[in-house]
Amino acid sequence: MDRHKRVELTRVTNALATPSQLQKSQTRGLTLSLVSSLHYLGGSLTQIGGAILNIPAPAIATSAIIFHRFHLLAGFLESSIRDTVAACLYIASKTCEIPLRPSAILAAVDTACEDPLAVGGKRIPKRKYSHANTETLDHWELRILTTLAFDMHVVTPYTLCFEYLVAMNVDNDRQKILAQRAWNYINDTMKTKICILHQPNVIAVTAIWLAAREADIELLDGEKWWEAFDVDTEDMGHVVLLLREGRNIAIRERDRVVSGREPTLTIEDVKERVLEEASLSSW
Amino acid sequence: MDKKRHRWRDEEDDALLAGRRKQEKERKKKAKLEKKGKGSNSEHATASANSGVTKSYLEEKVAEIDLTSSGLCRFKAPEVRSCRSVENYERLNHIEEGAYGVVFRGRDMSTGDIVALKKLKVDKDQHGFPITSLREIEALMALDHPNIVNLKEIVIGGALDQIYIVMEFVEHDLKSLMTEMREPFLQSEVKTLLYQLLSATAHMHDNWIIHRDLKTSNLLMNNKGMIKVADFGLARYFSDPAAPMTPLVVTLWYRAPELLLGTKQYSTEVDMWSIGCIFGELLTNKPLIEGSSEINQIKKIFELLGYPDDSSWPGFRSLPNAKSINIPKDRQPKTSLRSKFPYMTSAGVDLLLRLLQFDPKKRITAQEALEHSYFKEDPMPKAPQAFPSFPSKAYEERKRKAPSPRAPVAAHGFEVSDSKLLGFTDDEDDDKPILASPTSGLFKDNGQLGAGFQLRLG
Repeated sequence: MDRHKRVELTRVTNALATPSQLQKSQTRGLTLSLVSSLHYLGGSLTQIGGAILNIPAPAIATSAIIFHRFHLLAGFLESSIRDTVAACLYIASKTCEIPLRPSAILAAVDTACEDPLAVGGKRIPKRKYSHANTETLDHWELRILTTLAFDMHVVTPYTLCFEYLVAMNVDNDRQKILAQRAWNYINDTMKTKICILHQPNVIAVTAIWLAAREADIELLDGEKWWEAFDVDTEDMGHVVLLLREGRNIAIRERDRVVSGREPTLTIEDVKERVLEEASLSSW
Repeated sequence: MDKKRHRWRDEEDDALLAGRRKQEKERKKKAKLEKKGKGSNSEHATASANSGVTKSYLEEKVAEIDLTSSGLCRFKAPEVRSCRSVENYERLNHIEEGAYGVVFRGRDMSTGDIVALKKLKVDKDQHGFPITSLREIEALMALDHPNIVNLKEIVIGGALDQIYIVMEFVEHDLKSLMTEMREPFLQSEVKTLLYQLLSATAHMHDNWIIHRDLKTSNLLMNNKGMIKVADFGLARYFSDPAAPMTPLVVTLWYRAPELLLGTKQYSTEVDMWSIGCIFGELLTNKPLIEGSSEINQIKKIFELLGYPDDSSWPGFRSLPNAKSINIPKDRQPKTSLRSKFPYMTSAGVDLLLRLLQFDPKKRITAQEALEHSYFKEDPMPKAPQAFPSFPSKAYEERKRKAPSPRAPVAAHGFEVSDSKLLGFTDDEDDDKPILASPTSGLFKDNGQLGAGFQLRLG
């Protein structure tokens, strides 16, 4: 019965989305592309907020993964990204043993909301966001915890990525180059649904593979080294594809903001965009 | 748009399938078998709760995938999911109201299992959901061991702040049982209890979890002689090398000397010291080192075990609080432990001394302790089944609460009341295996099932 007892390998695996959950998340009145945009915005807001709070990358990634999991189940029409990002950072700060004051988190997310896509220059005034208080934070924290059945176990790919590089005996110089680039790719995956679709080992391996290709470094004489880490090319292909999709979303959202529209951060914003898309498609 | 969406869905599905397929090598094999058309679907059907139709992997790949039918092979992989409602449980009776919330006994309506439901208090003034509760839930979810209290799930009531932890129901806690006993446990019984505690602790440490509050009142015991380690409110994941953690953990009487001296770099050894204290308490039915304050506690430790020096505990002088300890010139270097336990074999004293080593590096690990000769000499550990099943004395027992000190409040905030599950017995709620396989061979069945035991209740 113990539905919460995890199976073996728990220390290296994450809970993933089930097909029916994915299906459901795509039939809540939002188009797939809008859902992906909102996942992207949330991931981006998390990373900027986390950077302001100065917490380590794995903690930021933990927060992002909790965010994606929650919205997979809860959709985007009942909670504003702004509130859930703050609550996810709050939870992650606790589970990563770097507890932060609620006021610090709210302030950081407020600041992040001014420029959630790091467009630079153009700053959005704090306007509607700053009304959030610790009560809303507590509310959304509980909502997220219960929605996810208190299973806050998250494995991030960062450590695995380093371990794999070491395991492959990559020399120091190349290791540095690869680690830096792979690290960035891993950060990018946290702004997409990749982290609820793939296990961390797949993400780590794909990040290394992309980094190696970019830096023109051949690993293990062109052997299929990823198979040693239980990853097959099919999965890697999917991650690469989703990353490319993420880049496109990033460009789209940035263009929106640059062209003067506000980023979609509240429920009202989301509803507006639904209408906007509807009017576009009826054209 | 439409076309794009379609492609996306397929992509996600492919990946999901592929992901599932190779989560374990065993599964990979199964999938391959299916590809060849040899595999039977039944195995997969059992592994997947929600699969109506099971198709072979190949079919899945080729067929137009219909997500709504959920016809995918779902393996027993972790998945994202939500809390169930408390309505799945029937409320039986109220057990105890402790500092952390209400506990009541309930029955799982689908399985009939008797459980303990602990309602969490979510304090509005605190910083949201307590970090201690998060730790406890995470630790208990990660641990699956016959001697660790089994967390079944978290359920929610109607309002958002009605949160219940569902755990297996255990009749007694060791502390209260011991206060009821006129004489301490027999050697054979002590061995069984200690062995179970060590095996639970080894499991925690293997899973990178330190309990940080082991004591007799946190050990529950059922009517089948099984100990269950409970209250993981102070438990934490540890890392190697150790990350700094607060030394304000573990209830004073069970607190390791390095913690008393204020170290922030500690690890699993603090649990082993607590086990040493519990071992002594099981033997005499009295807490081994009952200090009244931190400074008094460390003084009593030194009185019992002798004063440390640079060879027995290198580097202890550089610990934060070491300067406030004055070691008398005419110190006795030798331990007086032997005289305190005159009836114990030298193997027993040796194990106790190894658990109570000053230097954390020299302290025995849980795994090593399980191999200790103490458990292999006569009297052999008593089979858990041969333990007395303590009679249900609900009302009387409830009144007499065992006095026991509490864990440091600063770090705790989620203290389990000492006699929390006390006072109710249930004869048929426990159908768990008696012991995990590594331990089961250990107990010598002396054919005294029940008969050889003297009821030692007050």
